Amino acid sequence: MSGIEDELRTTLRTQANRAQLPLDLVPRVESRARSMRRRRNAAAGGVATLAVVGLVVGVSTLLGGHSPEHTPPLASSSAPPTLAASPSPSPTGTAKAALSAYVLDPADPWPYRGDPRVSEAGTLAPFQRAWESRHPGSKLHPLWGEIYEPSQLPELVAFAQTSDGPRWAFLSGSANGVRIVVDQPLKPHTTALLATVPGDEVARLIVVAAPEAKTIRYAADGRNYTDMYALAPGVAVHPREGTPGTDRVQVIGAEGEQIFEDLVP
Amino acid sequence: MDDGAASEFRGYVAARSAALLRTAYLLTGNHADAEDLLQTALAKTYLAWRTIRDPGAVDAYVHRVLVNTRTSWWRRRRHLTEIATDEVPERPRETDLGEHVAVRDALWTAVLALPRKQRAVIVLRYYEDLSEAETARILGISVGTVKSTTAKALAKLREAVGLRDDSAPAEINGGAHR
Repeated sequence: MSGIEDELRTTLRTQANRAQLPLDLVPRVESRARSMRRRRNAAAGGVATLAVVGLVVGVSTLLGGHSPEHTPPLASSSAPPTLAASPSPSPTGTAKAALSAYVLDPADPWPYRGDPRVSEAGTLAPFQRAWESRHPGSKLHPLWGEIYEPSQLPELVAFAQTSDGPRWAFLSGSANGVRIVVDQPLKPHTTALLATVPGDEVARLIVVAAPEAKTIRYAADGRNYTDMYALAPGVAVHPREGTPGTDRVQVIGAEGEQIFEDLVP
Repeated sequence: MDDGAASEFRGYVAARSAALLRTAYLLTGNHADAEDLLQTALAKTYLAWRTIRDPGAVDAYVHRVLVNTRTSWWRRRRHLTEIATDEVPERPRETDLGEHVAVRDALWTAVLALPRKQRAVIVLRYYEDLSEAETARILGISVGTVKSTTAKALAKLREAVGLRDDSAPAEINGGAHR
């Protein structure tokens, strides 16, 4: 046994003894486990518990496969009411007028939803600075934000007018400060913003629509839709478990009308 | 989780949480992160409780979750809260083997500066007293990697506190033979 090993053992034991156990550890652990289970169940779209356990087993593999450098491509999706891919009948003039209420209007963007902390000046400022470094003079209009629980880092979906026209963005806090994950032109008549982003265990599909939207749905196989988990009015998340080029998203309006239906980019 | 399993889990937490928190503290280097890491690891264990059929394997499972979760956090936060580096901290002046407190302070500082894998190996080998094979299993690496990682970490720690290498290479690699 060398001197360094003896010293190391003593040092580690001395330091470890400084750790103080909280009195209410069990309730905190059980509360956190329930929260994790809810999140996983929501992310799995209500699949069986067995499948959720399978996700836990695959954590490290999936994390490794979704490094920021390998983030799946992201894009905005424009879904005018007459979208050819939509199975819904072409709307009448009245219906078109009604659907226009769900369009992201650059002159009057959707209101902010989600965690109020993300839209506060202190949290928003780094996002704004990162955005302005790319689009000088452009101001972000926050649409939705959250503190992503696993990383405890903020995420933001925002709209902005730029010298190149209206754009939308998904920004997240990162190890380096701010990462602009999505920076896309906002197409005319956009009714839903779709972003596939890395998650704690699986890649996440996040959809932001008008706050009046009633339901947002996802079909991994392109046919059988299930409700996505609502994060806020008009905002939903689902694990990106379908095949790109096959999986689809549907947004249903307050009256049950179809607002959006398209392939996930 | 049914009442019986919940009771078993609570019993495990009551019996082992203090020791696990100490390990978490050594892995993170601060109290808040240690507590958060332990809660997360135990919550993941809670969710997987029914799938862990061998009660003797629970500790190994929790250690694996602790290290993996810590690694996951480290990947996300490394540039914000920690910079792992191959460079060891400056050697303390006038270090004397007789000045144990100074040496141990310097040693702890050097442990905190170790890259995450080296720190995890050191904690599992020299705090948990796990064998090389057990350490390899928990970290998902080979025994050979455990040996080489241990040797590199010890070399850095020696340099940091100004201790000369007075052990044979076999002893360095063997460390806590079990």
